[in-house]
Amino acid sequence: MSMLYVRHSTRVFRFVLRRVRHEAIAEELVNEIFLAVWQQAGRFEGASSATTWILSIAHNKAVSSLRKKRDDGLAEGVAEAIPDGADSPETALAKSGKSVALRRCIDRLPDDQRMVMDLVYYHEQSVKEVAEILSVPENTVKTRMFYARRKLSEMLKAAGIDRGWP
Amino acid sequence: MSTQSPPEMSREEIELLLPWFVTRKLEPAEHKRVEAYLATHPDMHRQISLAEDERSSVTSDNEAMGAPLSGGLSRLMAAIDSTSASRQFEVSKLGARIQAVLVWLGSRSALVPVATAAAVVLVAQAGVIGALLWHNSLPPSKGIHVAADAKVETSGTFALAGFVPTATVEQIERALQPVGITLSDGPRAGGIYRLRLSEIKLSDTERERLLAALSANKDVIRFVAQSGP
Repeated sequence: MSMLYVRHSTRVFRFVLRRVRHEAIAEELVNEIFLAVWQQAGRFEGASSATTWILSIAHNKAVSSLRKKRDDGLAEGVAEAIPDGADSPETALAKSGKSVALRRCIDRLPDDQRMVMDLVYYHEQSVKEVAEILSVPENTVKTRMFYARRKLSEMLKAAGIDRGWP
Repeated sequence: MSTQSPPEMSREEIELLLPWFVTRKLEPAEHKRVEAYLATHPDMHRQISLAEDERSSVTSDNEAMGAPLSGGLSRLMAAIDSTSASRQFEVSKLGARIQAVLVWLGSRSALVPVATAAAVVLVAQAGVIGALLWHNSLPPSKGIHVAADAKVETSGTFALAGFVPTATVEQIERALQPVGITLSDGPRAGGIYRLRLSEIKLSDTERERLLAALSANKDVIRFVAQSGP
């Protein structure tokens, strides 16, 4: 279990932190996720990779946490507590150039698009694996990723960077 | 019979798949089809470059997010220990109830030490069954039931059975569960268990069918015989 934790906890932490946007809550969720992994180990049949399985548990825990906060009327308060120190894409472009502006634009994507982008580019999950983690059809994964990339182009264009696509 | 290669993908299909082409997470056949398209459409290479930029930015952004605090693993192991201890307590409470049943069944005499030893075995079995139910998430009603109350079940259809000494709890569960049979009480003298075939009184034909199904499990069931309520 220790090895599993050491291998996956950082990525799982980042995955849930992106969703709940609160470090203490993300820490607590990581604990809950790995406890669930330990408890549900017998259900894991090896049909998907351990990473995909753990991320699907993480996704469900994050969704439950967000739902609970919404029910408790706390979501807004938590969101407000997060300092938004990030520059706008325009300011980022003026300060540091294209790559920083791209990062700022990625940060501003809608949550569902941003999550697919994280799962594909950072967690290196296949179409099928992302579909499994998010419990959505594979075509939804593909189109969500497509619209995320198109939205990025639009935001960058508004900031003065034309990617030449679409 | 000629072998036809799959039709060329459309530009739209390629655009949908490019992110996974960059991360090399397409199925081999799909990867080849994208490669084939790119070979004949060099203008699409610009899009590969865009996807690689996106990948680089997303990765940098995630890596800048930090990591969980160093005490996380200790807290997890403490939570696991705590959960295990709680489960062991539940099993030991069940064991105490089983022992009470067996003391009662043993006529409060010379059978008590034997019954106590059997209770220990049953407690261990209950632990394993509990673990199986827990890990496999079987509904409790579908698992093997060890009688946990002093009251002996009298309604329904019953049988007596002996298990092969080498049979594991998992094998016993596999033999009983599919046909809806539960362990009612035992072991009695000679290692005999009382099985509840059904909560209602079955016809002779149905009872014989179930007994035959049980007898077929020679690796698990040593013998089986009908029993009164």
